[in-house]
Amino acid sequence: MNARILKGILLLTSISLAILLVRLHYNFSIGAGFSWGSGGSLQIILYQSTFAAFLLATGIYIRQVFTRIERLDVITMLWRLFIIGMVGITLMLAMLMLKRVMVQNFNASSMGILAPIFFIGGIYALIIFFLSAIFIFRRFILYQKNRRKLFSWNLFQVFLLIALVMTVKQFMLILVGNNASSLATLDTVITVIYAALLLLLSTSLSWTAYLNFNQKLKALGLFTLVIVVSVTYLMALGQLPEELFVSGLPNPVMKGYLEMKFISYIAAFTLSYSVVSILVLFFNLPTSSVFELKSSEIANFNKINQAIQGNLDFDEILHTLLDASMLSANAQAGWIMVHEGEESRIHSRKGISEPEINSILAADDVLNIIQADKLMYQVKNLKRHKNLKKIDTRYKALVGLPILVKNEGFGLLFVMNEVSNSFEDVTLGSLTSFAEQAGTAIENAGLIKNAINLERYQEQLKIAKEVQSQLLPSRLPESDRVQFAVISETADEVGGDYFDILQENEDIFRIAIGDVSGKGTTAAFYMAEVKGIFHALSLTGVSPRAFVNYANQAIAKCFQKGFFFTLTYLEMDLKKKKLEMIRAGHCPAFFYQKASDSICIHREGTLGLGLVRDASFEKYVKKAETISFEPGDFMVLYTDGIIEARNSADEEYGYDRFQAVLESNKEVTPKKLGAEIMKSVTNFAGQDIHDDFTVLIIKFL
Amino acid sequence: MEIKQEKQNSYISLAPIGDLDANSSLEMDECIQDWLEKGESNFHIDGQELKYISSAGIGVFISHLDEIRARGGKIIFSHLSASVFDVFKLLGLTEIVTIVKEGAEIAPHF
Repeated sequence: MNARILKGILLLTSISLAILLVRLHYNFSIGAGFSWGSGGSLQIILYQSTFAAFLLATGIYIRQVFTRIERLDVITMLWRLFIIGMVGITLMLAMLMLKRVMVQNFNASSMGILAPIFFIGGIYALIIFFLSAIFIFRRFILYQKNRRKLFSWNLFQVFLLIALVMTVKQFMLILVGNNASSLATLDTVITVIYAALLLLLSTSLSWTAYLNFNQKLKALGLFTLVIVVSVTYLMALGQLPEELFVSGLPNPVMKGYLEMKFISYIAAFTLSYSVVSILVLFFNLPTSSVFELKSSEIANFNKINQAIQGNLDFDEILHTLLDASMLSANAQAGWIMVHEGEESRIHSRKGISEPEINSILAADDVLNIIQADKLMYQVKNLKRHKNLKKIDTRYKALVGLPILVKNEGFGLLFVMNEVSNSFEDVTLGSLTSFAEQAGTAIENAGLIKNAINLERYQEQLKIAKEVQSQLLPSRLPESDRVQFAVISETADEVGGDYFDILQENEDIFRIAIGDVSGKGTTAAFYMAEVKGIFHALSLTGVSPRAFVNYANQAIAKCFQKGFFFTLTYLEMDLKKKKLEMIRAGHCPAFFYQKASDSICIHREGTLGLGLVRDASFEKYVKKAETISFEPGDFMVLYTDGIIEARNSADEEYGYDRFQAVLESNKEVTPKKLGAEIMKSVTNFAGQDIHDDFTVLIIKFL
Repeated sequence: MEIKQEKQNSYISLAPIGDLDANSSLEMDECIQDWLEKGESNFHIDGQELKYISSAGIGVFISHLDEIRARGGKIIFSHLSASVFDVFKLLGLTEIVTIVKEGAEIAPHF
């Protein structure tokens, strides 16, 4: 059933029963009752049963209200209880005053139906208050509930129900065979068990531990108010019959509302739990500051731990460290120093001025001692220290310890206290672990920073690689008389290998392959310059010999000292079936001649470009070699990366293995030959080739 | 890589041990630079324990060649292994630097 509808029905039942009670009271007050059974015993049973039903309905209603309520903290709930009590008391007072005025001005009988309304109204306010107290305290008792707590609470509820049944005294009397003394004995037994249960429940006070000092103080005040309200109600209950009733009622009805089990049970519970809570809260007040300290220490520890995940930067970590350390050491002053080269700089400070810090550091060799030993340094009393006693400061105790990152000094942490000898061993332990945590956090922050930089750097290199790959021809010229194929890899993201094929017309091709000395970014930049030189010189149509000469002059001007470029340049005429080739320090070319079925290595060559930068270079340049070719012949040009590829045994791939691949693939397409070469080198070296390498295959058709 | 350095009467003998590649070439560069600053201009590079030389390694010697020559000095290589000698030859360096045959005296060259 919908909880709200249930609550509504319960409330309605409770109010209806209250109205019925008013009606019954009125009947009694005008002397209309007590006509059924002997001495009106049936009417008394009816009245008492109605009363019990009223209590039950109200009880279940209030239980609903306070168990289904959203999570509230202790103070708010106690505050609500107090408000409920105060509203009831105010109503009661108002009724009392109204009654007095009426009795004074008119006469007693003029009250009429108002008298029972006031009476039941008062009782209503009272039981609402006590029931609220019970079901609010239930939440406290079942805080961090376990089986034992739950069992005692359920037992307690059973006893409340028993008390409810016993409210119908007349019925109970009949039940025990009209023997008043045996009823009294049953009463006593139940009350003793109930009292024991009360004591047990009153020790369920684990919630008090989680309040801080202020909250405990507030709870203490509110519990006191709850007791005051409870006592007021109980006193009022004693007064109610005389005060509110104009004409007295026959004994059986009114006698002993106070003795009524249910009301006395709930009142007793409210009072005992409140008193025990007050005592416990009171005696826990002094320890709450320790508890708070510990919990804030844990919070700070967590914060530094979070920093270890890398969410904080250096400054935040160090500020947290200082706060946490001062708090847990109960220090009034503290500061953090950070090493910068040989110097140490004050990073942050609290409760102490810079001149004070400097005078302490100047007076004693604190910094060096801690740095050298990487250990904690403690001065228990400055006033008795031989070097520090003259310093003008109100602090007496000093502790300094290193903040180590990867076991290297990163900085120093200091805390000071006004009272000498005030740092306990436990405190020093916390400080050490704080400093250690901070050290780890700083290390991680650094690692993350480096990782970000590295990633950025790699991103840049990726762009460079992309740009560089555009410097090499993306498409090779196609012809029905010649086929080209290229394989090219770089060791780093960018490399120094260069190749290019320029087609002047149907017949004439200019081809270059080369290698800038060194690897990586520098080589890549020079390679870009080489491309410019090659393209510019190609336009002039000069002979290969002149080409090399000019290229050397250009490279001499734009390459840094010590860098050079090896080049094989060839000019090919498909019509004449001839090519002119010049090798400037570059790897010798392999040429396969189909007619003789032989591979010839062309070693004739000149100096690498940039090795000699003055005019004397020209005298080293030899004449270009002329080679005639026929269909089926092929030429293989390459860079030294492929020859120098090494395997795990540190052997070179070498010329012989390279030539062997060519020998066994003489008839295949250039593309297939390229793939075979690649396969052979990768098989030989494993995955790791340390140099850039390029292979250019030219096959004549 | 390690460089054994020895000052002779008329020249400085440098013997690189291991690989002279892009990384270790910086060390060789500093070494030659230091001797140049001390006023030395005759160098003998002893290749007995030089296992491998890369283009960057060659570059180190080339970059100082002009200054050494301008001072009237020389750079002479000896005891090069076959593979190192191949590299020199391929680049055409055999034509511009002196490479002494095994067993020959060094001193008379300076």
